[in-house]
Amino acid sequence: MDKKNIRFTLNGEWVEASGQVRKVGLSAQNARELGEVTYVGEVCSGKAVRRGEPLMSLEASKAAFDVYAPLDGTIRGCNPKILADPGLITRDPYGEGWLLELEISDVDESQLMEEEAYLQGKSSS
Amino acid sequence: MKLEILQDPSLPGHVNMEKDRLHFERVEGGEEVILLRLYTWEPRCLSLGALQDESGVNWDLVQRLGLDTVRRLTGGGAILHENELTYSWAAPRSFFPDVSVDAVLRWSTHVLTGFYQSLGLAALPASRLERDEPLGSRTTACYAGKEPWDLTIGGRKIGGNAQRRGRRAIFQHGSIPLLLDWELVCQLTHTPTDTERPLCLFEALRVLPPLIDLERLLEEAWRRAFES
Repeated sequence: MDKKNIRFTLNGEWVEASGQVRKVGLSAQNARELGEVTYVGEVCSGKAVRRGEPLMSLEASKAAFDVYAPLDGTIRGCNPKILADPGLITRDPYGEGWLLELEISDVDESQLMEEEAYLQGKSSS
Repeated sequence: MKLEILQDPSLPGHVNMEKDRLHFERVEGGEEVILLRLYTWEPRCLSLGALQDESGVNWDLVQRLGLDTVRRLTGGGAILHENELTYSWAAPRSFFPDVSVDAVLRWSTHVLTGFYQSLGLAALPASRLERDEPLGSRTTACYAGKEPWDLTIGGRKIGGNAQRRGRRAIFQHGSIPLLLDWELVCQLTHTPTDTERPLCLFEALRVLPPLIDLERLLEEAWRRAFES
């Protein structure tokens, strides 16, 4: 995935920058900070979520955490590859380690940012 | 930053986890406070990590024993909480100069090493053991495997820690085993009986100090760390 085509939340989720159904993932920085992901929690396909609400839970070897919706939308399904190999989330966060697809119902993307702004925001938060 | 300390009486697993969840949510909700809790469990309880695969647990035995079970907020493997002093804390991310899981566990290990030192025990993180055994392998029972920042004494694991991470809060659990029924843990988690036996405080000290003294020492160790 070309990082020019994705946008980040300050919390470290990324979402594709265009399209109606978009892939969502975890930034490389967050993945590194948390360590190798070992379990993927249930993803509720068809569930409507608002921006900032939990999308799914993940567990790294020593930490459990939630991934939050970058935009309003409806969950359209989890990446089957991460169910078989959760470590992909850590090893290839912008490629095969994407998390799920979200059908977007929110056109306000003003709180999303490009990678450089995300990294600056993260280092100052 | 303000530090609140709560010492609870022995409580059932689901009550302990609910109290922990409320602490996590207070800090995650934006309160600028560190919440430290020390507690024990009654009745004994088998806890599983937040998303841990249940298939490794011997549920027939759990049922036969009428054992209490609960899911933790945090990650990690299954723990039988019996004759154990448990701590939890919830702290704002802003408290830590480096919020990575690795950095916070390293810091915590330093704190807990101090606690064991106050009992006259030389604890080391597993990452500093001069051994070839692999660290970080996934095991159903928490005490059957070693992670780099687990505490060891004489090469044997005596404690581990696990976290829940939010957008504003970091929450951490850890156990101090006073006595350990390792055979039962192995049976409950289908762990091979030749797996290295972890250590408990009684075995390390040959005597068990009063719980109230252990609570005081553990509280002091965390208080010093959070107030420095």
